[in-house]
Amino acid sequence: MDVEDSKETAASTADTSSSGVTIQLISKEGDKFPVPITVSNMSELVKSMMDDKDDDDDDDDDEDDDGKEKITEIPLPNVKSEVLKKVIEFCEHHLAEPMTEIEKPLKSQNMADVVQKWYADFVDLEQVLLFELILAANYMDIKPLLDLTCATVASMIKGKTPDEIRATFNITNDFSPEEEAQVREENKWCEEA
Amino acid sequence: MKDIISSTGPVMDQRCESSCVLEKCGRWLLSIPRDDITVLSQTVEFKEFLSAFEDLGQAHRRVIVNTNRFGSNGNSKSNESHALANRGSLRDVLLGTDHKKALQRREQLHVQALPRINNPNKSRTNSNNFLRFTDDVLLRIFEFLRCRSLIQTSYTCSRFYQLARESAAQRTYDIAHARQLGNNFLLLRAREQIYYVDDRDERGDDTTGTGNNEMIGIDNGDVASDINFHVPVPTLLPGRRVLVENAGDPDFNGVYHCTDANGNGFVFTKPRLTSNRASLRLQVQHMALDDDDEINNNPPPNDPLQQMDRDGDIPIVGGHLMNDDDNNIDNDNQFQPQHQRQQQEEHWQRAMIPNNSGRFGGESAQTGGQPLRCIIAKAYSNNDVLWYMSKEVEIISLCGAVRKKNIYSFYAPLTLSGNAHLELCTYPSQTSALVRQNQSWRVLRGTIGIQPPTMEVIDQDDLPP
Repeated sequence: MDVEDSKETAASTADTSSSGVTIQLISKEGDKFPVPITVSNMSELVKSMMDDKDDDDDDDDDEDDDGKEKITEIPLPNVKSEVLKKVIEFCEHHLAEPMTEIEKPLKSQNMADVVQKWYADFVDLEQVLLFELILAANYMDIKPLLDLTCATVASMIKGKTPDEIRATFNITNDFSPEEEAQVREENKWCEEA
Repeated sequence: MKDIISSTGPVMDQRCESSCVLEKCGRWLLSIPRDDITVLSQTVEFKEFLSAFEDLGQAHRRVIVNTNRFGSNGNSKSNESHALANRGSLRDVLLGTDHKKALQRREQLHVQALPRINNPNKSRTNSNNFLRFTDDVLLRIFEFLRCRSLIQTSYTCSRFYQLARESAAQRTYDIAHARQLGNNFLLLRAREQIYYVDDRDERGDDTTGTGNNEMIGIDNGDVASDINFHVPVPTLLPGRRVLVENAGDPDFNGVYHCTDANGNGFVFTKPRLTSNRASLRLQVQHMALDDDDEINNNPPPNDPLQQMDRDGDIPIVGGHLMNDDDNNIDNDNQFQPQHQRQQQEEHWQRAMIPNNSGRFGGESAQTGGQPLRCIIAKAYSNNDVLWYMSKEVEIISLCGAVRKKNIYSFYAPLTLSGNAHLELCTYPSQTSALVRQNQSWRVLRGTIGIQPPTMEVIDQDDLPP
């Protein structure tokens, strides 16, 4: 992601933060993303880091010596700017339109059948970015985003044969022929059904 | 034998592609008498064979190293060097130094060749590898998969095989735990209880003096200590499915499984459609949701639930299903004036509220995500035991608490062993057996005008457990 892009994001999110405290999330590349605390608190990681900071700053004032409001910076060294932008986009929309809980197991391969259209469109991504998003959601501990992305991957698995799954996700078959035969024998009842 | 020995030459490389040849060679090697090996090892063919055998081993290891490099991006170099470092141990013992040096040169060539083989895939492997997810992330993904997809996923690689099994175990823990299937010691103790194997001799308080308490009927009065060592006995439920069709209320149609047992017999259930979840919810004023008795003893004024309860139109059994206290269904008041019935239906209609999903699923979250069910079970009606079909509905009080209630819709007399096979009499009464007595499934007063269902037991007895 370009730094220019991140600055645009920063500007747009700064507008929305006028009513509350703003947190600056710092990506792996060092780009800063100011977001309202309500948005950043969707991440349990950020939330707990904020709590820790609050404990540390108990005796301090909320303002600097020159009277300006403090802006807390939260470094997220495991999250790329491109991914962090998507994460923030998700969190902002989730506050406006909460995502419905995704039913387990999935009832459809089509994500639009299991979640609102915006969310289905949101995860219509290249596999690389989708995987990065899963890692970021896991790292930042954002349950709805993790559910959505994991469900999307599950929808890509659903209904596929082992070979198709391997091809889709670039998985190497490390079973020996004997092992594979044994594994298939275990679940022969499923094959015959 | 000559054919096989000759195949260890250049032709061997081609033939080894066939696993049949390898197996044939292996069988021949095993069949060589051990006494002959000393003489055989002096021959040139023997040394050539070993050399060729080692080459094949190298080729095999090289393929594995390549596969590992392809599959994992982090430790490929260390895996490769580790694999190469382990090569030659057998050779060192069996072959001389010249062979060793020659093979080392060949290995170096292979090492140089490896990066060229793997480079085209390297970028794809690094940037887009599903296997880099941690186990907990993969398990979370697998949670969304149904059994068949999970099994297909388990075939893809060994890691997914392990994780898919773990996912299945996680998702069935409640069943396995409830049935004691996860702990063999508990199962063993349950078996001992079934066969009344006394535990007291293990504790050194064998009062019989025989030293053999493993017999039926031993009782030395130490009941309390025996109770303390009690574990629940797993229930073996009938495995065949029950098909319900043609019910006027489509909620009831579908396949039921035996999922439980109560004091009256086996209980057959199926989940209600998700879209029907909480389609029938009652606003009950001042209802004490933690106490069934309070509902019955202190009916609030203008309470539709109480109105119906008092009139006996729709028997409602609260909380858990079919307790001795609450499974008596009074059929004495089955008939009532039409206008009264309409009035009651209006009560139900008014009580219907839309299913507003909350942030994480609304009602589903409130009630712990437990699906509502349709239930077929036996219950008492005065002195008679009958089969009943009922469905669970959610009742919400004004304070927002949600609880489940059973609404009974259909009933049938029990099938007798003269009308059906003895084994089938443990299942709900089949329509095909009932019609021989000019009977069928019938409606209760709450469902008058609604077509009663047909019910048949399906599947064969020899299905896998």
